[in-house]
Amino acid sequence: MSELPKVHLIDDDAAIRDALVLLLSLRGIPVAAYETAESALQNIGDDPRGCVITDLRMPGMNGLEFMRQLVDRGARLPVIMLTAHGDVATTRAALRGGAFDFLEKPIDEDILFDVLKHALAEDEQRHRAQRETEQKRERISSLTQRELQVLGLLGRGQQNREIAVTLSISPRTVEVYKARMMAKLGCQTIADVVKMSMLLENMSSNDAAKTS
Amino acid sequence: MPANPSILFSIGYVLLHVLMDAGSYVQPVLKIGITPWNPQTGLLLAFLCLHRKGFAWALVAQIAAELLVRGMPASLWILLLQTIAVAGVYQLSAILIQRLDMSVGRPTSATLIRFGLIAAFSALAVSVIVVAIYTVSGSLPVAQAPSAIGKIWVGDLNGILMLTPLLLNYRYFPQGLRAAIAAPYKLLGVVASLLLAFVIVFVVGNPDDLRFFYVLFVPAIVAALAGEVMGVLLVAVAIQIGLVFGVQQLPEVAPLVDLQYLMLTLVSTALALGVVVAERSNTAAVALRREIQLRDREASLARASRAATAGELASVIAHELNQPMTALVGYLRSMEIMLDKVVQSDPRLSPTARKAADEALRVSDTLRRLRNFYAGRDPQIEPLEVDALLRNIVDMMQRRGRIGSATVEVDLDAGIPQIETDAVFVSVIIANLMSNAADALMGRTDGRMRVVAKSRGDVVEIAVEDNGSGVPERLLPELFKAFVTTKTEGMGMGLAASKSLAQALGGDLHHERSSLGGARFVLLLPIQSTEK
Repeated sequence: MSELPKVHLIDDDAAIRDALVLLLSLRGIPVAAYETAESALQNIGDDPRGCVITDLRMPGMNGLEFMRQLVDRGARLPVIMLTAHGDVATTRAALRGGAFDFLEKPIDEDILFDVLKHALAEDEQRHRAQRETEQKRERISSLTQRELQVLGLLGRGQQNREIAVTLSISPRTVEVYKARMMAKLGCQTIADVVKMSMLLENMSSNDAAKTS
Repeated sequence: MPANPSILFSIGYVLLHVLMDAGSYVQPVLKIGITPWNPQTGLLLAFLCLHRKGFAWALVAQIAAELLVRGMPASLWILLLQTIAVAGVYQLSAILIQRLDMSVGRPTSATLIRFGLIAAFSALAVSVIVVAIYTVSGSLPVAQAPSAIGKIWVGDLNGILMLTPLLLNYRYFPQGLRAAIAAPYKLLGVVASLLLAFVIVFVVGNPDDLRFFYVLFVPAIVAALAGEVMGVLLVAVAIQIGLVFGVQQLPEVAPLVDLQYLMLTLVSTALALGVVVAERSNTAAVALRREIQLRDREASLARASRAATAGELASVIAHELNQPMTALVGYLRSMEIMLDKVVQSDPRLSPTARKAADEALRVSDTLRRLRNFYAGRDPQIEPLEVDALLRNIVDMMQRRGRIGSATVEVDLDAGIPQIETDAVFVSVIIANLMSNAADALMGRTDGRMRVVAKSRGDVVEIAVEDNGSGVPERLLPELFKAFVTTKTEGMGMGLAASKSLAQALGGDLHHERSSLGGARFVLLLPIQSTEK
């Protein structure tokens, strides 16, 4: 189960953490602050929501390495880097490494909230897309063997008659399976069915990859 | 040298050749042009050196001289044969001389020796061939052949030694003249001693007695000691002309050929002395120039080192102050928000908090500008030989006395490729590391320092290590931070600045324990720069 969206703040400077936590919570944004990247990795769950604001230069694991490890874990949070001003080379490296954006210290409040708004919106969108996919997958997994077969063959562009021949059943029975399958998946049109079949192929190729 | 001088140049040569032959036609053997002074030979050789296709002109000049000066002394065929032989031999020596650097600006004794040998052997070949032709054709009795060979040889050789180097440098004549006028006392001294010498030889002394000839060495040596090779040659020409004139005026003087052998001694002695003096003063000038260059380089290295330190200092200060500024701005903005929510006793509270935050941002902006001002220049990337670079730095440190009594080993792997980097940045880093090592070895009698370089994959690793006491354990975690030092008068910027420079080059700097017992600092540099 995913958590509620919040800002994960990482900075080794206690005063900066304190001030930013105060500022963000005054704006009604939930914050979790960490002194080191290591402790952030320990405490951020497997399916985090929201975004990360991390200092780039820190003793121990730095911001870039943190971002890399986060991606390795499959957590797709937008990461905002805090950089010292004029640190062009590292900023460039941060953006190349997949950072969502960067903020120069001292942080200008307006820019901070602007960047946060975009980051959280992206997280929301990503989360919604993920939820939809999950729901569809759940529906697909509720199909019976026959219904799955019909879905697969429809996706390949076969007509009812052809499906009947392929599966050695009557066209009438195919109609029944098709209607039941579409009802379960919530598909209105044949186009919806084709989309679903693509997701199905995706799932089965993923399964194949896992088993092999 | 012009490869193809104009026709006027060649015609001028022919005229001069005839005039010289006529002027030096003194005491000939049987009227067949065997004379003991042949300045035209020096001219001929110089002409062949300057004019690559001058062979035909050389033939024309010689035949014209024979006809005009001596009026066809032998049969046409013999003349033709002799002319072709002489021009041929000198054509060959011209080809050899063209390979030498004969400019008077940079005379070397090696060049002089080669030139002298070429001249002596070609003159010998010519004299033997010419005498053989006349002997075989019956114009010259066999008994006179050896002395004739000697006469031609000494005559040609004198002509070549005096005139060829002089004429090859005809472009320097105006420059030489200006130099002579600029030093009138030298010029006057040479001319006065020359005149005095002639008076002694021909007037005061017994003309038959060759002892007085040696007085003529004085002006030649005066010119030679001034290091003026051209001056030596001009003095020699003047002495030669004086001798020929004197011999013609005073019949009882010793035969010219004897004087010519003395003349040969004089020319070669003075020439050798002049070249050695000039060479030595040139070497001294080159050494001085190199010394100045070295000093310039040391100064620029010191400047770069100071700039790197200042840049690092500014960067560290800016960063350290920027951290609390960031918190301060955050607190003040929070305060503003909080103040908006409460019933305020004074409406100016909230705007005041905003103003305070704006001022804090202004401080940060000033810090940014300070940092940018001292950020130093961007690295200037160029291909570099690691070997030469390191040896230069080690030399420089030793010359500056920065190493103290420690011994320095340089251990460079063969086959380290050229690297693309900034020479000054690398020099600053290495000089800094060596300086640290020297400080660590101060006061020790067995101090050893080692500079090692090798390539590893796509990086070159340069290490500076010593057998000092090493880095204290407690300093290790923040060794490369600013203001960390063990030295009483140190600022603690050296390693921090060096690491920044290394990173600006796309490399890095780290510390290890040395197998020598002390510290080992390793600079890693990419072989190919990532800067584009």
